[in-house]
Amino acid sequence: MKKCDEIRIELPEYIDGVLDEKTSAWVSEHLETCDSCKKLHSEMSSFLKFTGSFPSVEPPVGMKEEFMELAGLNEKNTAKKVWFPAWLKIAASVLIIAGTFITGYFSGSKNNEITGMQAELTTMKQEVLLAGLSEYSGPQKIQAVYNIKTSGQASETLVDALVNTMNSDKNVNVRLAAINALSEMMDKNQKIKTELIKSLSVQENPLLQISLIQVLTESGVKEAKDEIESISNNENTNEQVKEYAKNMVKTII
Amino acid sequence: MKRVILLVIVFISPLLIFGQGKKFEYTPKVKNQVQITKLLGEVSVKNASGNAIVIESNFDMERPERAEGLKLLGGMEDNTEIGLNVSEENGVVTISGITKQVMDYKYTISIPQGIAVNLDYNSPFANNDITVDSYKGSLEIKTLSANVTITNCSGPFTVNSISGNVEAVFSSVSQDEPSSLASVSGFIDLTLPGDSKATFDISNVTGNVYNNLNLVGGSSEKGDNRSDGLASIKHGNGKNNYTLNGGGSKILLKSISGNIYLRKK
Repeated sequence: MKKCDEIRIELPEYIDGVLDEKTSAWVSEHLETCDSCKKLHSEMSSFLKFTGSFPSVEPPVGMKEEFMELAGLNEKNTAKKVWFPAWLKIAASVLIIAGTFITGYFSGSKNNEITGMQAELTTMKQEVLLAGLSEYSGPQKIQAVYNIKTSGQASETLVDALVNTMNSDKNVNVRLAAINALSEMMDKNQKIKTELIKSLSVQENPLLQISLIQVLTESGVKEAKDEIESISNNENTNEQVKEYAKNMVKTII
Repeated sequence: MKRVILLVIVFISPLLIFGQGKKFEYTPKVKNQVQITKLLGEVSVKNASGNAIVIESNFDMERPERAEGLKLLGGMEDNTEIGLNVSEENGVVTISGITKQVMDYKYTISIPQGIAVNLDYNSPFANNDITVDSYKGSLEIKTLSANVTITNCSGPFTVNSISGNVEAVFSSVSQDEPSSLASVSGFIDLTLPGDSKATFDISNVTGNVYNNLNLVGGSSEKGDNRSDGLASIKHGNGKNNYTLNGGGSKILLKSISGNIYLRKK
């Protein structure tokens, strides 16, 4: 167990590839034999990869002038409110996480302390993911969704972020991308199926309703039958969706 | 003769004055995002040459005489004199119509390049069409029944419509971010230069897809002897992935009952 703690301290550097050869070999040797460290390693690297995959945001053109102007105004009027743009907020949260991370791994040698830090890290991860997905433009968010899909990871956090995007993003095209990504990951995480079925009653846009019925019936998800039937029997459902639901429900045997 | 000239002046001059329209300029503090909402008339978006957002309109709503000294209840303040409220908060400039009557007028909005534009036209009162010409920057457009026409742009865009048609002509395909065009019952007509690099994700339910691009199917299915020299058309999954010139930026096209047209420029 002692060894695991030592390994975990080295993990962030190991993922970044900045360890010397000897230590790096020692870590990879251990990862092959220890399942719990291996799990932590894959979780951590998928997270780092995901945050790294956010499109790099250039400071807006007027930013510098704006700050200069505010600084000038501040001398006269200190009550003036300073706002921070989205990219700065995200940069700040990433910094905080990095801080927590390092502090956690270097100060806490006791196991329970590490566990506490990990729990904290998980909630913060989620916040960054959600903030990241809600404060970017539509095409940028679609890019982030594709990145999750191609990373091949289906960890709880990523699935949650996608489900949240599918059910609450303002942009229909982004929701559509999330439905596509989730449907392709369906066999990796049992939760996805349930969430796609639940989403049938959340979506109001006909395009999204049809897309959901399409992915669920084509993958032969039997559990979706009742929900699709209730859509086709609902008076308020769009005619085209009703027709489609009625036809597709027959394919579920 | 004099009378004729006088008549001409009397009849033509008011037309000239009204025809010119009004103009409103706003220079955003931060060039980041523009959000256009509750603008129900004919809207066209293009690139501005300077740093200011310029809105031109033929807005000419008469306030009833009885409303003298009264304010619109629940409405936003018209701070542009063309029926709009323009405000900026947290790096987002919001352009919003203050009354439903804006649907009777035409608005041309010029936006400095590089600003992400979000145009929400998702209102049953919006009864005109949207045109975007030569805009350099990211676009998000949502409509109910309005048609969307995009010309000479490079993307990325997300366009979504319930029954409107989507027509887009790419001057080149932006390789930075993906584009997504979707409509429930309208058609999608996309034109792009034949040498663009793109990866398509095309899906529809009852409509057809027509194209003259050199698309290559995404799946590497082995053909039999008989299929020699014939391209395969995959129908499984209702979904089709294709690449153009080796693949590149993702373009998602989806229509439920409308046709999809893909053209070479």
